[in-house]
Amino acid sequence: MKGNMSSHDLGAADAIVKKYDNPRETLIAVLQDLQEEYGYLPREVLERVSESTGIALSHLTGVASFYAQFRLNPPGKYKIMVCLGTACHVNGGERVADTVARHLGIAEGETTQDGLFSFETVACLGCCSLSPVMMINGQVYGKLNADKVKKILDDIRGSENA
Amino acid sequence: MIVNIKVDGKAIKADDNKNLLLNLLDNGFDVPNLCYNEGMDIYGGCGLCIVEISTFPRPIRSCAVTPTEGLEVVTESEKLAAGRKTALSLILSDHQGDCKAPCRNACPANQDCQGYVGLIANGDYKSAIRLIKQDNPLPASIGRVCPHPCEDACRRQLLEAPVSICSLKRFAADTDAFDYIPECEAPTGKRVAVVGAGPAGLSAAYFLARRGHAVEVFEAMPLAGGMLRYGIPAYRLPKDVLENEVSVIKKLGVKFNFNSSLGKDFTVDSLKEKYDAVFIAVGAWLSSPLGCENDALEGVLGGIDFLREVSRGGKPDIGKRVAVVGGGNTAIDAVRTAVRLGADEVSLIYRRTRGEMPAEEAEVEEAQQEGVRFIFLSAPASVLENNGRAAGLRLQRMRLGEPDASGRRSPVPIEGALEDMEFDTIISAIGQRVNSRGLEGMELTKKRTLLCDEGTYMTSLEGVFAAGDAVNKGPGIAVAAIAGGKNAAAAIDSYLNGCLAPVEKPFLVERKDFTAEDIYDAQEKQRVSVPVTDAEARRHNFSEVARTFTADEARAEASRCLECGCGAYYDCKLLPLLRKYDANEAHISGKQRKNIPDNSNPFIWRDNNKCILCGLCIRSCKEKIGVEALGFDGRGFTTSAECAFHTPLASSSCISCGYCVQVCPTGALQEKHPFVKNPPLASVKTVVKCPYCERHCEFERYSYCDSAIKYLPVSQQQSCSVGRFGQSFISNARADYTAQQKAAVHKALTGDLKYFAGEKSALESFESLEKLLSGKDK
Amino acid sequence: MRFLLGYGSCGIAAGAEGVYSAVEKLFEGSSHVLEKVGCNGLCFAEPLMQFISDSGESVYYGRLNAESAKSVVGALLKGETPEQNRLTAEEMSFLTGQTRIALRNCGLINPESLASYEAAGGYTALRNALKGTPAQVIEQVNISGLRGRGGAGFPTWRKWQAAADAPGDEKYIVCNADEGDPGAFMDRSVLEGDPHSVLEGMMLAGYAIGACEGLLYVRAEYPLAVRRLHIAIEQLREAGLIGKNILGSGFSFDFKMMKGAGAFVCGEETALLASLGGNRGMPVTKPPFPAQKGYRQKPTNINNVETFANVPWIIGNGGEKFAALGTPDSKGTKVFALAGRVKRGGLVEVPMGLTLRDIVFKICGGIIDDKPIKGVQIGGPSGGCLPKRLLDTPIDYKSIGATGAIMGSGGLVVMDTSTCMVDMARFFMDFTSKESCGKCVPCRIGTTRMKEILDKIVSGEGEPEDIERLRTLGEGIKSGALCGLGNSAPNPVLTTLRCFPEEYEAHINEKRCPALKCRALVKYRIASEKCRGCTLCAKNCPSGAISGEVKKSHIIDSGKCIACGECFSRCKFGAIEIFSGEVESK
Repeated sequence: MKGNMSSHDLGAADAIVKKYDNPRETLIAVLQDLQEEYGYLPREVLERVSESTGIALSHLTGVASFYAQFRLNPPGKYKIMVCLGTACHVNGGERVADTVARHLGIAEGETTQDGLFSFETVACLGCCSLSPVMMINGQVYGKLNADKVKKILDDIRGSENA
Repeated sequence: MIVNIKVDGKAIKADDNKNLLLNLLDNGFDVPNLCYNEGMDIYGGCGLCIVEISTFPRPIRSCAVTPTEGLEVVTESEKLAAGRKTALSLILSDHQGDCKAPCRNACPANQDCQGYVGLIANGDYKSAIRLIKQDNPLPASIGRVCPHPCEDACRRQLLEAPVSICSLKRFAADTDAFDYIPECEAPTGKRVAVVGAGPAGLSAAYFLARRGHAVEVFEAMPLAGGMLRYGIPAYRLPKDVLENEVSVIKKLGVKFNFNSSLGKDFTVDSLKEKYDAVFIAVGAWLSSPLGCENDALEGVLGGIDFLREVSRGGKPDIGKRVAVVGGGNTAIDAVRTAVRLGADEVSLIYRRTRGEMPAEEAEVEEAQQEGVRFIFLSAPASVLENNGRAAGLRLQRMRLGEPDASGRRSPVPIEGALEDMEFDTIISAIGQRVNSRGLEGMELTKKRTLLCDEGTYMTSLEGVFAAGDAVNKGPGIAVAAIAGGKNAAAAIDSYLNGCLAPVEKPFLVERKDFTAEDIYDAQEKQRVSVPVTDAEARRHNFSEVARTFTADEARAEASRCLECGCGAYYDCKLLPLLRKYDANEAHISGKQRKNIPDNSNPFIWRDNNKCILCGLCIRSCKEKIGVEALGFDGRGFTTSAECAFHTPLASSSCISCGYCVQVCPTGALQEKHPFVKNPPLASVKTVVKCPYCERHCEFERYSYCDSAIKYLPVSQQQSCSVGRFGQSFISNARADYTAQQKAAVHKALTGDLKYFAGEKSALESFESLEKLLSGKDK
Repeated sequence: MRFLLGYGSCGIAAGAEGVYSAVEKLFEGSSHVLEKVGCNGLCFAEPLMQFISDSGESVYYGRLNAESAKSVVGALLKGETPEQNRLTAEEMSFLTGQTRIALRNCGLINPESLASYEAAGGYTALRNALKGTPAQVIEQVNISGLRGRGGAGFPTWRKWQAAADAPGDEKYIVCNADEGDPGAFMDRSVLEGDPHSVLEGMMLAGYAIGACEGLLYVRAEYPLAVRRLHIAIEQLREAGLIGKNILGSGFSFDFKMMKGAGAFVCGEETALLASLGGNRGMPVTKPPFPAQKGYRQKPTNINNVETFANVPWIIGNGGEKFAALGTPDSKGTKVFALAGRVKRGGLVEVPMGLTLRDIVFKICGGIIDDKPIKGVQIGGPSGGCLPKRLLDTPIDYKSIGATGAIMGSGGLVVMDTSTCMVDMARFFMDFTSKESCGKCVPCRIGTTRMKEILDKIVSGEGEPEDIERLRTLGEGIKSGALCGLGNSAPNPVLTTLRCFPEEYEAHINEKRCPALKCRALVKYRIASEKCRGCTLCAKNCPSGAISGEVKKSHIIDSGKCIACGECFSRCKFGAIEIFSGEVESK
């Protein structure tokens, strides 16, 4: 992932598209690869893909906006996903979400001003027995309470500032 | 293969290559649907085409069923109606807009204000007066005297001031010069007697005559017009204006008997014998007395009596000092008439303050300019006497207390605060009552008005109808009497046809939460005020005070209209279903998706607030046109139809073919006209051939009077943008287009040449189009 | 001796990596190996290690960390059987009460090793089946009575038969591994712990219907499952078990995998197919069914992970053996994911017909802190909430269906008296309204309207008519929505309305939340006689609502209190009291 960039290397997008025999049929995978490459789905990248594949731009944004995974805006360096699945809900997932929001001063769906954290909630991470849980850049943190959440976020910020 | 199915007990031959819904529609079954379009993939979104079938335990979408031999189908049942009502109520709960503009909804006569204002803005005055006369037989008169509830409802006031709707009506009526004689249906052979030639009686006569009935009017006074003639002074409504409008009604074949009075010259029973129906609109001609000591002395006049006498040419001796008691329009008419009769000192006495006066603000203003003195917070305690004649008033001073039922603060007497004032004449303008002579044997209300049904307008006597000031709540404004006459005419018509039907206000979608924020693209533009004669010049005579707009003034003022009513009113597929299945906001409501309409394309207007997400625009753009300018965006409740990255239509790959507009079941996609305004109008359809290339495709031409509004390709076939929009845009091309607008039209018209690439004829038509557009460049 | 360390997502999240690196060195130079295995379902005791002695005796050690793992493993290597961290007999009843078929290998084999799977009997069923006819495979599945484990419970053999009968040479098998129900993680565990069983099941299905390719649609949130499936597919390729003319049988089959991108609705088969085709996951009307027109408009059979995982066992052991388990209507076993307010949460596979009470109390040890149970949420957002009085309902398709809930994919969330049922219903409607594909009116707008009404009720603004509104809307959506997920979306509300009407009434009429959960309806107070003035609550109050001097009783300013519950969870003296309504509830 190359993080936030104002202009994008479209060659990488071309290379990704070339990997697929039928980019229209495997569009989800194409978009996943593009997001892996650029961190999100920048407009100019999708415009390039539309041009090179003949897939309508409205179809690309239609698909991208349908699935929770895709972002049309740059995310934070650390992507916090607080689980609000059933088990987490029953065990206090909303308190975890509240704590993240308060501690970082951002609402769900937002990114901190320094671009370090973005925060969203997800339906279920499948770690119900560890509920409440959150995931930061793929790593799961379980059996959370407010203190643990604060410490995890502070530790990340500390390691970035170090 | 043809299979035999049974629908609602009827044997039908169905084609199993087609889905069940299409088979049902082909066989004339009225199965509701909003997301289905023959030739496009089945979608299944709206959930309205549900039917019950013998092979499935629950209601099922008929669009998803293939008919099989022996299938039994039910298309209407309680269960289906309930399911459809729920789906429709849900659709409605996220459908924002106004079927009709608030001005129209506020008008008692339901006049199409947006329609005629729009036509005036477009310079089509002839069409405007035709439209007005659909609902109002006396527009020149009403356009002068109406307190215009339409303007009170006008949303333009959220910006600066309401549109001068009333004066625009007067403009249209005056411009027409009474040339337009509405057409009448063939004679029915039925005869109707109308008692009273006031606004209600004239209105009923007009509408009954138009429906082909023979109408005879009986009027106690020597001339027609009722209160318009005898209650409203000539400086507001010149009598020739009224007479000209009455003459149009006469031309429709209505017979008038003047000086013929109910209870004296004839009775209701005598009319009932001779006529198939009787309509009573005798008005309320008795002035309410002051209700204080000595209120019957000589020198104390009733307001209505006073105005009537002056209107009939009388010059009553009112002396130098005149007091008028009351705060309504009659009081204002009385003081201003007194001024014109030469009284030196005219006072209006009102028990509350100016803010609570029911009279028109502008009228109060003009009275003040004419030197009328206003005495507020005062009520007569007694009439002072001198030699058996009224000599003045003892006034009780008041203060304002708690608000009453009307929401106005009610006056409370201040104990001991009395004041005597000298007057030569005292005019009571505090209310009117109905003269019940001749109404014997009919049920009256507590207020001694004639009781009639709110819907059918029938009185307690079979076949006898009534409306106007004489009924139920009593006196109201003139346009309400016009409405009463019109609605009663419709009820009488149904009665004469053997099936009495009440006139009901049909359900309409209305935006109740509208604020200034919702006005997204209007520039501030001051109201063009009605030109008025100088106060000093006008106070000495009965010449008309207000002048008619000039054409330039009228067009400028009309162009201020925000066009709140839905442009797709006459094409909407949703509204009739909401009505049929009784779905309204009371069932389900909640958060709505808020969107700013997209006005970028010169031909297509997109308003997602009205979008019900049937997907037809998106699907047709993909399946039929292959362009995919629009697509679905997001998911869940906030899913919407958008161009990629929410860009405006004009910046998308849209080729302006207009197919999406054709298939949109609501007003979410509307076509724009090459006019200043796009008023929704009930248009007439003819079939024409497009002249712009040698293919000469057939189009349905929709027009109102002489104006072509739109061209649709015959039987919903797709067409190029030149045929679809060019025909109206070229024939109506506006001289006032800016270069930018012209460029936008040009781009939109030529955008789909790619679509017709290689076709020489299309290119030739493009050249002729360019010539046409540049020809307007001068 | 074997040392098996649970290395599933939840094990890793609980700290299995730390345990592994801590004890790894102890095995240097030893003949014994530490094997990473999938999750064996004892999630409550993660990180977990199973020790199998040479005599085949198993001992489990749970809740390990680097330190304790070192001492336990050290002792075991010395031949001792330490008691430290060893699971008690009572805890072990979690496993002994189960009958594992779909989970037969989970936690017992190395999921990244084909040999390990084959040693456990893997791919014998396939080898044998390829010697017979496709019809024989379908016949055994028919005899087994296996029904789809994804939710709807449609007889598996009928789907297979339909796809087999559909004309065409190009057919597909799709594995729905887009486990979307919040609170369900059976499929993840199977994919992570025994990916080959799913692949073998798909190949058997492929052989049965004449398919050429198997597509796996896996949730993107399950990266470990994706990785292990990848490894497994590559192993099959190397071993020549996929590709053209497998084992000379003439049967050709290959796999393709696609990651889902986060859309619950893609669990619906037509939506899943749309997604596989690169489109928005919007369901379409049926017919045509996928068995006639599915992936690439070709006949396609779609089953979920658990269904496929059962198939090799059924073919290997015979359909009758599977059918002998469970009830006449619902044969075999079912995996449940237990979560919520239960002592021992994890994966439980039991024969159909067992009661909810057996699962919650006998296997899972009952409720945390032995609080009273209120009910069980079964079947996720499509299912329903069953009250205590229905705990003796046998778990089979018919009995669960009769309650208004559905079996669903197997999520069981246990609720005690601290769970508010109105809040639960609101939670699910919030979920389904956000996950609605946006296509059909009843689901897109209806679920939002239901959620809005529930929002109103939990915030104390409910009106008595709201109950009828919810019911009408619920029934309307149930019969009017386009797809199965939409049809079942109102179930959590309709079942709670039926089983817990008193909770709705308390919220609406008394403005009281009996579970003390709904923030707008509860108030916090400090019992002065219990407060020691430790200031912990005041320090942690996010809204600065608590004040007081050190060692003196504190007070809560109800105007500032946001009812977050932070103080309640902090207080060591039980001094924070929660109230709802006018009457003190606690």
